[in-house]
Amino acid sequence: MVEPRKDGADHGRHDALLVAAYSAGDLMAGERQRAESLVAGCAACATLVADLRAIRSATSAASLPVAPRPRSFLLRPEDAGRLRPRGWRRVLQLSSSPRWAVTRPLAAGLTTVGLAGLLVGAIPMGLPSAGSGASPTWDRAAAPTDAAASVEVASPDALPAASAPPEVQPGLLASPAEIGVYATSGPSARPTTRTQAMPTAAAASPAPGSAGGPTIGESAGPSPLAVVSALVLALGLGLFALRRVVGSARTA
Amino acid sequence: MLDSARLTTAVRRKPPPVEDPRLAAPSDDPVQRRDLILLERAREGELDAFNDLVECYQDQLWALVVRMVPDPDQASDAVQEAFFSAYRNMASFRGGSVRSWLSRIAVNAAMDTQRARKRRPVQPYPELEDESWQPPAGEEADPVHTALGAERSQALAAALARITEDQRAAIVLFDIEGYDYAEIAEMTGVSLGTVKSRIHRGRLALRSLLEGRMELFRG
Repeated sequence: MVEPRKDGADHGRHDALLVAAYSAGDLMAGERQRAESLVAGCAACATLVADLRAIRSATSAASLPVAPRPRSFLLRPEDAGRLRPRGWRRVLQLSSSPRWAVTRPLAAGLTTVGLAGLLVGAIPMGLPSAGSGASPTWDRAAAPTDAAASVEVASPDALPAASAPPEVQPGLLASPAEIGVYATSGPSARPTTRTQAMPTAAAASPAPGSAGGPTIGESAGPSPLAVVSALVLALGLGLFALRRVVGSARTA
Repeated sequence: MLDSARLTTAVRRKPPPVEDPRLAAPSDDPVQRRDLILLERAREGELDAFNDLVECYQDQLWALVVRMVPDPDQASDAVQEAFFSAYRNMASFRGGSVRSWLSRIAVNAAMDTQRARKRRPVQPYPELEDESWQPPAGEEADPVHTALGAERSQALAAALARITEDQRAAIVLFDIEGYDYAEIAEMTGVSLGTVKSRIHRGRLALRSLLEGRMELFRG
């Protein structure tokens, strides 16, 4: 690419790209002066400039051989129908475009987010029932055979009367297991830290058995998170279904 | 190509809708005005209007693409694909020169074809093997001059086929097609500096390839 050294060892170190830009007249004042001094002091650079201008003239002369156009490039009606379809065929064509491929990860993402949202939305409502099922002590306390005792123990009003744990704060209810212990062991077996007490929705509601008190299941409707998650899930599944329908129509 | 009678008919057949500001902008250039009218009618579904544009520009696009893509078969496919793409994406036209828009699409099609050509190398410029080819005779119909011109053209074309496709595209668009740096930058999607660099490096590469034959070009 660079002129062989005809007039000294320095030419090989000269900036050929700078000389090329100079030959095209593309340099600003500072660089142009540098190129001019380069060309003035180096015969090989001067020859390079002349050669590059001659090549430009040759290419600009438009005398390069061009093969004759082999055919007409007019569009036929069937080409036009294929390239710009109308109606439902246009939908099918869109489905084969790269943009349509985005719908697959989009559908997967929506479905995943919807499922995750439903799960997260279900957790707050599911905890109490899960706790009651997992605690044999609570089950025993809630059993009809021991109903009276359990009502007395579970009732905030009744607790002071039965075992009188003074550290139990309003709004906090000891776990069913601990309540069972309190009921049988008295104040000496009380927990020493508040973290051992578990807040539940039951603390804010009247004691079991009180007249007219709403239960957890009755008061909690579908949360906004659950509704939105269900919609997102339906959107994702719908997108999957649409892809399937369009794909089968396209293959048909 | 459209003759003037057909053009007049085409222009009078249906005026462009004034609600589209891109196409309603008045143009002093009658060619540009004709192109915009034809394109607008094509966008409304008239295939004949689009084919009028094809008639107008297929020779130019062919000459452009066949210099970028040395194999005529592949160049032909690239030009056809360029017109297909233009028809498919008429809605993406944002005003300006229809010729530049079509050229940009053709350049992209040619570059796509060249990328594919890397996997299937072909004999570049097979027409150069045809000894009967001669450049068009001009005023200087001197046999010696004509022979010299033919040899120079063939040497240059062979060298062009050997430089990188980016450099070849830039040189063809600048030196032969006459686009300026900014237009080439827009067409090829690179910066102005990159266009200049490709042209300069391409010329240096041509000079290196033609080193033993530079006497054809000097004087």
